[in-house]
Amino acid sequence: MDYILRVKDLVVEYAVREGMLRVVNNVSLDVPEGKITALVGESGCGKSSLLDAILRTLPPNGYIRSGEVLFRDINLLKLSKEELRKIRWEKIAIVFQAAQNALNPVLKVEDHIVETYQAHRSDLSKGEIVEKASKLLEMVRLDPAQVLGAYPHELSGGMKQRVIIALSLILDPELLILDEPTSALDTYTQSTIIDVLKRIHRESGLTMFLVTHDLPVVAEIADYIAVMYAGKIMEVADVETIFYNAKHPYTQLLIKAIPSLVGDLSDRKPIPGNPPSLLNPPPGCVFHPRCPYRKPICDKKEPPFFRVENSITACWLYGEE
Amino acid sequence: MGGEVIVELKNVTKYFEKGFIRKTRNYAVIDVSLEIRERDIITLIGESGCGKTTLGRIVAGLIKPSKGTVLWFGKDIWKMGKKEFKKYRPLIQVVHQDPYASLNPTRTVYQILAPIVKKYYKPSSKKELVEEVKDILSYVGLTPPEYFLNKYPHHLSGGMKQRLAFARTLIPKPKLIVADEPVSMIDMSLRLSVLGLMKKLNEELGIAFIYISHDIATARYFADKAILALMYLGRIVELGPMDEVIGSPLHPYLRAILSASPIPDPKIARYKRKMELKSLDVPREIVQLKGCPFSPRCPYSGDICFEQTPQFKEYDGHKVACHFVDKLPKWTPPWQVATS
Repeated sequence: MDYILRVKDLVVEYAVREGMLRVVNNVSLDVPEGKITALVGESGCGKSSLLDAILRTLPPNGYIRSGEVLFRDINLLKLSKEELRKIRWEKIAIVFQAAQNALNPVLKVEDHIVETYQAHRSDLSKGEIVEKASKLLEMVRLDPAQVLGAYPHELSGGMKQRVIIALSLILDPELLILDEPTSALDTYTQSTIIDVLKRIHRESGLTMFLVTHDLPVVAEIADYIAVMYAGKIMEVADVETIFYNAKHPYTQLLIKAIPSLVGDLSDRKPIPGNPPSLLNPPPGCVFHPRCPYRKPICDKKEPPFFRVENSITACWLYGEE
Repeated sequence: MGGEVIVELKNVTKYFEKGFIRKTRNYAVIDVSLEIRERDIITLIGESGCGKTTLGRIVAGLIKPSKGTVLWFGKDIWKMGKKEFKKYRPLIQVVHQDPYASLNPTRTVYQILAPIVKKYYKPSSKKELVEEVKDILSYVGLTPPEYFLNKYPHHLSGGMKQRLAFARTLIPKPKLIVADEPVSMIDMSLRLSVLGLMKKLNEELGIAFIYISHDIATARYFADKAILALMYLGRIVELGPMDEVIGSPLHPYLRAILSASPIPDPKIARYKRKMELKSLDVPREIVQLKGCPFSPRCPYSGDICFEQTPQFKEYDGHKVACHFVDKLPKWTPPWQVATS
């Protein structure tokens, strides 16, 4: 398999009053080309920080301590600002969380799209850009005649989200990153966004990397899933393995903790305990204080990744030292 | 059901006025009637902006409705004397969505709970007061209580904060708790534990609940015996027992959101069929008073839907507001289509 994005041994820390907060702890992750990969985790597990590190948009108190982020063969962490600017949006487009607020309120959608295009390229005339934008707006199920001349406040949340998705595609990126694309939207609007993303993927084969806490959404759209907990990747596998045959105890319990509209609810239960504080993470495996299958080694040594059937899992259940 | 009616809403309408000279009215709740009996669980489901929070606040006596009456054991709360109102108010408690904002960050857990315990239980000594506070903490699952007494809210996780918020509401021994999206800001792995706590309060203490949410799946986990009330643009459009309403939904809007709800099972999620609406987005002109609120998006709507507001009437064990309720096609759950 070809990988479009490879994260290697990445460590990210925040300087806070109480000390150094290690939010991404030695994370390695490969995003395969032409597929939809999802990074799933609860709030505070470090998934947004990982994304910020990949895009180099960490806040001033955030530091990348070590590691590499390779886009094709380019290490994004070594690029100058100007080189990075060229890759962002042209090669890697991003739809941020609450992207509804990312549109400039004093620009019409049309001007916003044209301006974005012209900031990166000058090969098309304004008319050609608008034509291209219209096609993309149709792809995200918006009526160009209605939307192009509109200001953001005239559009609903779901429409703005779809405008942003269309805008992210205007430069034909090779990778589309989506940070919580469905949060803060209503059920029906959410499913429209998912449909739109599925359609884009089907028609163009665009590689997508999705960061979310919403497992039902992931079940519908992702090919591969990486599960993150307390700054660590716990398990990586294809979607069916994660939902039907997960190997890591955290993944198994997390799947059981989601309520559903369908089926028996008696086996649904919360995970006992609470996520650890990252200032003072537990020794050994970060999940061991909540894990029902804990062994003596779990609080002493951090588990490496083991390959178990279709899954790659960091858990001592599947190997010895 | 069959217990005494605690709260009754009669044709309640609430609008907010905007502007100074040319006043415009924004309708949040339109002509809603609802009965809440002892030990009842009513789940108010609807999308953002449909008026579900406003309705919850009207039930709790925090907002005075523009029209209609709110009865507390048969008495109009807005005609009560000051003394009587003061007695009634603590018996309905509200738990808000954001536990980060609803707890005073400068007070410890003990300092948050102790003044309320003092007021309602009148303990004879400090020792008794501390014991009472500890009992309440253990009851909501904050154990061991000694560990939590001197913690500040920022030491607690989202789930623990929400437990503390529930602990606080329990002290006046309420009859009804209005829980407004209590789990939407809580980690997935802990959501069910907060819902479990609410179940326990309902079963053991007999507290009735109004559970406000946009997510039918969590509502279903909280109480499969609950009553589901679906709101759309200020009106209740369908009401009935949870499993029946989910199993055989009538209102086209309910069918649409059931078919669009994500399901945490890849095989079902990928093959279920979504009901298509005429318009993907909620119309901008927020609330019309004429016609059915759903008519511009409804795939089954006819001329009458734009002219007359459908009556909210009994049909097949539910109550539903739809002109064409007896002409709608038979419902097959989208997940059944997917699995067969």
